[in-house]
Amino acid sequence: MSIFKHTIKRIFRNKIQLIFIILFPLAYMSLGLIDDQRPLKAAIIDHDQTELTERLIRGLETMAEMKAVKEEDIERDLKALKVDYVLVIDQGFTEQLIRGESGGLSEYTVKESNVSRPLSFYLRQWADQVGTIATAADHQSDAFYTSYKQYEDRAPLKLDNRPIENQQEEKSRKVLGFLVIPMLYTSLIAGLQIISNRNNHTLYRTLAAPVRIRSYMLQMIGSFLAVALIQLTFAMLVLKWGYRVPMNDSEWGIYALLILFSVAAVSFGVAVSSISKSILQACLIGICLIEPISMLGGAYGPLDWAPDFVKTISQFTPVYWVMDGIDQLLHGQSLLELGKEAVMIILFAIIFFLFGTIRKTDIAK
Amino acid sequence: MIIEVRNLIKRYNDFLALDHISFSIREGEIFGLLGPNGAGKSTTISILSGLTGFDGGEVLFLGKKIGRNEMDSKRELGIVPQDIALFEDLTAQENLDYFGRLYGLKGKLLKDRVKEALAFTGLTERRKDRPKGFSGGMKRRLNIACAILHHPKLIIMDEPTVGIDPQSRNHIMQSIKELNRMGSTIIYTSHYMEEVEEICTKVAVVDRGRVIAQGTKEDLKSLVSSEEKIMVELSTVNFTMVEGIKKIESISECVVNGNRLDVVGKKGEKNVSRIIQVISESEADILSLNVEKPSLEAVFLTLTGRSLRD
Repeated sequence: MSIFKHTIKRIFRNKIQLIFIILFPLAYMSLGLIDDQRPLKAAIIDHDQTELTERLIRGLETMAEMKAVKEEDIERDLKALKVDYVLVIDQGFTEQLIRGESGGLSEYTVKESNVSRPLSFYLRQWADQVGTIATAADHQSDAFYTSYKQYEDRAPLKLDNRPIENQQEEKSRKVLGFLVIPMLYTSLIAGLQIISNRNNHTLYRTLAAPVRIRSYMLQMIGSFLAVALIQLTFAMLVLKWGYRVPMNDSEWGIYALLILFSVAAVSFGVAVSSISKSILQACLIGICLIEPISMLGGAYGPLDWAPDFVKTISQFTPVYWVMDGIDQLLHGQSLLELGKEAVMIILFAIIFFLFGTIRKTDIAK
Repeated sequence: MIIEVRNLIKRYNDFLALDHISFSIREGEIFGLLGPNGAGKSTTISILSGLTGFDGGEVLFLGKKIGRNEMDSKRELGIVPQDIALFEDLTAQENLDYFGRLYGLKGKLLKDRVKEALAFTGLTERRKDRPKGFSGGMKRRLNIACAILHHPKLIIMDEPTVGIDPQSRNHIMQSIKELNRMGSTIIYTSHYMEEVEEICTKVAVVDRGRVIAQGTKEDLKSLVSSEEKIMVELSTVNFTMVEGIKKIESISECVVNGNRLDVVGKKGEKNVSRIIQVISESEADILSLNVEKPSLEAVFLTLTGRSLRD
């Protein structure tokens, strides 16, 4: 166990490595959070100017940052991302609504984006409720406003601006994806340690002692796994208690799945070391592989937009399977239902491990 | 015999690195392995260390055949690699602790051996420092300490004094002699011929994958020269004296160089006493007298046709 113990000691003694292992995932995950917290920007052009439309606007204001937009500039401002959503309320909308007629509202959003979906969803629910109240008030204006006020004050079916479930899951998925990427990057440290031992000739000396190469590799990988476990545990604690990322009560499942992924990640680092002659080369190869693997695997975001052939290729990355597993866990599946994902991750770990160790046949060369 | 190498063959694809190499080392010897770069020394050492396999021949360690990754023989070996093999981010003591544990040392025994190795190499005061801040000589000493703390029967030292100051070199040379005195057999490779001359009891000259000569230093020197050069510094030189020396049967040349005579004659013919006799018959005083013997460098040059550092 000398190799195991001393490797951990060496990894944690190097301050730069320590910062990289502990803080890099936190910083990366923070990026995921900051991006998600961008306020939704909306504009409302109210040609009706009634008490009801005022109340509608007040409701929407609790969900988005309001901006002023001229009607003729709607398209330009949406394209320039000055606003994400514009609602135009036609004159006579309130009267139409009380009469039980639909129409009078026009929504403008960027087609490719779904960020304003909560506002549309809110508006639709509000219109349904208000339509029901109008029917109940027999389409009489005074009775309608009396009922509407009662509804707003006391109704058990009160409209809420709580973010919809999907949005929460997307946010959690994104942050977890931003944990998977630094896990891959820190796995390179495993490879760098092996290269460093090769370059400083301690590998030669170690194997001149009564130590088999298999034992050496297993102890090295064991030490990297221990480091990965510490890193992952710390990151999960920060996710749960620091960043308060909701995980749909699947924290333990996600933790277990990521432990499995860390085995594949460490094996990946070992595989990179086997094809690199120097630390610089390993870093370059690592970066060139990790970025496409992460993108294709969906760590930067779901691949819904991607053509089918890209989706097929993505299945040849371990990241795809861990993100797929995370998706399912966030949607309420249990870890026991993720057999396929677990098997695929283990398979990748074995392939990387064999690739990383099979070449080390003549250490004296 | 502690080591017997018989007809060892090693190929790297089409390149024949070792071509039927044979030599043997007795327990307690300091065995010098001499050869230029690429001669096959490192390959031989790698095979003896169990790190590289071989394609033919056999290696016997303490009478037992060994192959690649033979754990039993590895336990009895101490390797001092040519390149300093230390963890720069561990202290001297931690480096020793690491390598000691690889040889199965633990607990009090390990602690005692670490202390002993540090004291032996004069590094006790620096035991808590990392090699990063060590001088070249101190690193070399720690490099040796890591190889001896498990008390190996055979220590293989591959150029252990490269790039260090004379003081550290002297310390290392004394340490090697001490290790040998304490019972370790040593295989020593070096580019510094004077080191080999100083400490080795037996030498093998390796070139192009073959042992071209081996034996004691005297055996090797006798291979390359049947003559000796005697230089005599005198108070005065005269014609009668020079003619008298030239008349000695075994003397082939006598050149006057100011007040110095450079005399060349056949080895082993009591030339010195005969020359002194001739000089004493004249009125000259002998100020100094030197007999120049062939060096290992000359042996090497003669046998391989090139200098050791080529």
